[in-house]
Amino acid sequence: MHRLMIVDDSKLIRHKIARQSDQKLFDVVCSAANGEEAVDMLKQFNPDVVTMDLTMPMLDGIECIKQLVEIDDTVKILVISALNDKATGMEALEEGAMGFITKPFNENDLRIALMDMVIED
Amino acid sequence: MNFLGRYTSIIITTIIFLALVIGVLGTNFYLSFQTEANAEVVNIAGRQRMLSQRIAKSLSNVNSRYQNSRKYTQQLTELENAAHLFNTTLLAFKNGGVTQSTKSGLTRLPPVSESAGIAAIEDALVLWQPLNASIGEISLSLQETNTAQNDELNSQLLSTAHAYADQNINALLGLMNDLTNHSESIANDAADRSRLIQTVGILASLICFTVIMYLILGQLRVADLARQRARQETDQIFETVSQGLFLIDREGAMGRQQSKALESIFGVKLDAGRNFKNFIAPLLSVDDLTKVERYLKLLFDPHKKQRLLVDLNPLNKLPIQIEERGLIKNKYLNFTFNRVSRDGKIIGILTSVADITNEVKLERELAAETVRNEQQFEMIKVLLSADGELLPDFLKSSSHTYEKINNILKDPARTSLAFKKKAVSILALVHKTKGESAAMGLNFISSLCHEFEDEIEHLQNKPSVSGDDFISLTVMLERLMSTNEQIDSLFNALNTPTIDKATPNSESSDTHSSLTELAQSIAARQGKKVYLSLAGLENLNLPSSTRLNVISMASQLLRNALSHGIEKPATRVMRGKNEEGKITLALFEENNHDYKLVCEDDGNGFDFDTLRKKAFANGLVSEKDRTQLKPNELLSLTINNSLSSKPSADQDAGRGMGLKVINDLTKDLGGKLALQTKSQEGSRFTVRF
Amino acid sequence: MMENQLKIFIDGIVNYFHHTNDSSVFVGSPYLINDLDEISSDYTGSIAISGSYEGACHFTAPSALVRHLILSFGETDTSESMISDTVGEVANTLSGNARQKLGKGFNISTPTISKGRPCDTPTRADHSRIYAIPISWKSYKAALGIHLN
Repeated sequence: MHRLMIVDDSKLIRHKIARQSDQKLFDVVCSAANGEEAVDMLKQFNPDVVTMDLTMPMLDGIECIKQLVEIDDTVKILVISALNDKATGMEALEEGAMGFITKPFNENDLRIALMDMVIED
Repeated sequence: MNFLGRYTSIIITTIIFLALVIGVLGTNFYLSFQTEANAEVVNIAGRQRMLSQRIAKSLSNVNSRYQNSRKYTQQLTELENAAHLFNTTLLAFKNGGVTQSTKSGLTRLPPVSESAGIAAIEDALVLWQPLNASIGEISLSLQETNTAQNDELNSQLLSTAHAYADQNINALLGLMNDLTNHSESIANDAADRSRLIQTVGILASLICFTVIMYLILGQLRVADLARQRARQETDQIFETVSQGLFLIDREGAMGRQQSKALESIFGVKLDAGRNFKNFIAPLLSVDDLTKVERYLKLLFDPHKKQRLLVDLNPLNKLPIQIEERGLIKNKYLNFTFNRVSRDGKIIGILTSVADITNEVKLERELAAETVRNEQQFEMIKVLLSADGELLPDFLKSSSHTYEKINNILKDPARTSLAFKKKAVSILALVHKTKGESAAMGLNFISSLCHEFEDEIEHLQNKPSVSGDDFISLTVMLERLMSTNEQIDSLFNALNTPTIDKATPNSESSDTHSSLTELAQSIAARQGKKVYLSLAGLENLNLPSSTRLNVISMASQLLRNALSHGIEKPATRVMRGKNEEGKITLALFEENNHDYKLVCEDDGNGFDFDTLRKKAFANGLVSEKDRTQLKPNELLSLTINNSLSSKPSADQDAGRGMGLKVINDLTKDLGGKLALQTKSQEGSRFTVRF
Repeated sequence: MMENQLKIFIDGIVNYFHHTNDSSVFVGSPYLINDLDEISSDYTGSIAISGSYEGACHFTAPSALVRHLILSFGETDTSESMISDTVGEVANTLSGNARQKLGKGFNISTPTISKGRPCDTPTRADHSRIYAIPISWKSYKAALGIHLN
């Protein structure tokens, strides 16, 4: 079981990700509605995998990724963003995220992406 | 395992070859010793010949010296030594044993085994042993003190021995000669044998070597063929694959192997080793180029998941412009990147480029087609509710008008005044089409005409007008013309034999069936049930324009009766009426060229209370007048001020235009409109013209 | 959109004549034609347009106009090849002007010159109409023919 943290400012999306992630592989240990919460929860719950939105209030995705990686450089971050701006997505990966998928996503996209995150190449 | 299997035969033959070589060398080594040994035997045998001679000679010397009383010691020693050596050697030949070598030291002789040799030795021993015994006696006797008695014995011994030697020495020599020859033939046989063995060994080695070479060359040829075939296959793939394929290494250089399609995609030949970034740079903005660089870096980063990078690919559906034979062509390319790893290390990116221009074009066409279909659907909806019968007339008349407008535009003009005059004449023409299309219910045309009028108005307000101010008008005219063409083709499509006509022989029954269709489609839309009774609308012996107006009027009256008159089935049942409403539409010729069009329904009748409220709400009447308005006055208000009794507008009615259109149409016909109505019982419209 | 493109071509031609010593050039009101023949004159320079829009722009003029144009630039050679060159040059200027203003998504080819009836561009759909823009300069009449799909 991999410990999963969901970071997204939309409650709907948080629920969707929690519901659609593979229950046999992932245990959703916490979900954060903004970057600051995410940083706190990382310390508290020590997740293995994080799904990360990029546009959020308080602390945006890029900044949040920086801080998360600083605390735990083994955490695997999957960016899930509606951003059409590929440059920002790339920045997220350059800052330490491992993968990127775009919103809107379907259940299959999400499952495959999360599985890719935990399978060794 | 495979490796061993493939080379088994080579390995086995090589081992055989080595064994042969070692065998040949070993035999050679052994035989050379053997040959040397055989040569020694021959030499020793030869020495026996010589010794037999020397014994005879020494005996003779000792004898003569003794008789002549000369010193004989040296000769005697010679005799003793020769006899000793002869004897030892002869016994060694017989039994095997050590004797003095011909070179130095001692050598061991094997016993002679062949019968001829044995016979020679046995015969020699028979001859030799008495002589040897005599020599031994002589030797002992001569060492004793010389006395007379002694002297005589010695002399006798010597002469006897001498005589025996004289008599037998030649036979002994012959026998030793036989022995020598015999040894020599043995040695020769051995040498022959060893030569044969060596020849056979060398030959076998050579054969073995040939086999090895054959096998190795065969194996190499197979490997070469396989490699060549693989190479050919790769080449074929690279020749025929429709995608551009190449590798990008860590330094960003493009690989040597590139598919042929790459050249046709980019229109230029690419140099191997060229930097991908430099190659792609002219096709991209600086910003995009940076993205490509960053993306490649991410691709080479093993910590990033390749599949989860796909969405960030900056070269997805990339629009480019490529010059081909002087023409600039727009293309869309799709780049896909796949990591190539060896031993867990990313060593390159396999890049494939696909020309997706056609796909993108199709996609766009599809989107455009969808939009067009939606527009057509809109049009069909309108056309279905418009009066099909009148459409050809409308299209003919409006196309004619557009042609006229175009001709006005075409007329040469230079001054602002002349241009303004053009605008005025165009305005009158457009206005006519606007009215016609509105009456037909072709709202999209009337709204286009409306825009057209606005533009002309805008133009008229300009202080000075020139030719290029007409650009927008011309563009709009083009749109109007295209719309007409679209309607025409749609109309033709809708009226092709796929739609069965009830009575195809009569033109007027078409009017009946289209009115019936219209009634049913409106009823279905509004959830009502209606029975339409038609009379007199066939065989209209009227001028085309009047006919158009009459039919237009009839359909408008029908629309009106259905929308406002006929109630929903439930309401009708509640009111004790038949679930199905009834509308009668009839045209009578009263006198010569005097006509009466009647439309009667058994529906709602006019709801004067609602109309009163609406008239007040629209500010048409005062609070006080409201209650005192007579039905006639109220009807007149309704007709002239676009009041609708329907609470909200929909496709069929509600904008308050219905009665106004009927009123306008009546005026066009130069007729009179009469209305009888009773609340909840029905209405009757009568148009006399 | 269509209006803008027509305007760009019209402005282009007007600008061109403004550089002559007689800058009184008149543009008539645009109208629609079905066939380029309706306006084609002695010489026609054509530019093909591709990209987001497909179509062509034709400049057609009588040889007298072109001869006069050449003279107005101070040239004396009014041979046939010179006339061809000048029509090409007008079309080129139009094309350059359009390329500058229409920007990305519009590809404008180098002009082709034809004498007599111009070749219709293959991109024109059979029934699409052509915008005809009459132009008069001195006493001569020329025209632009434009169609875009």
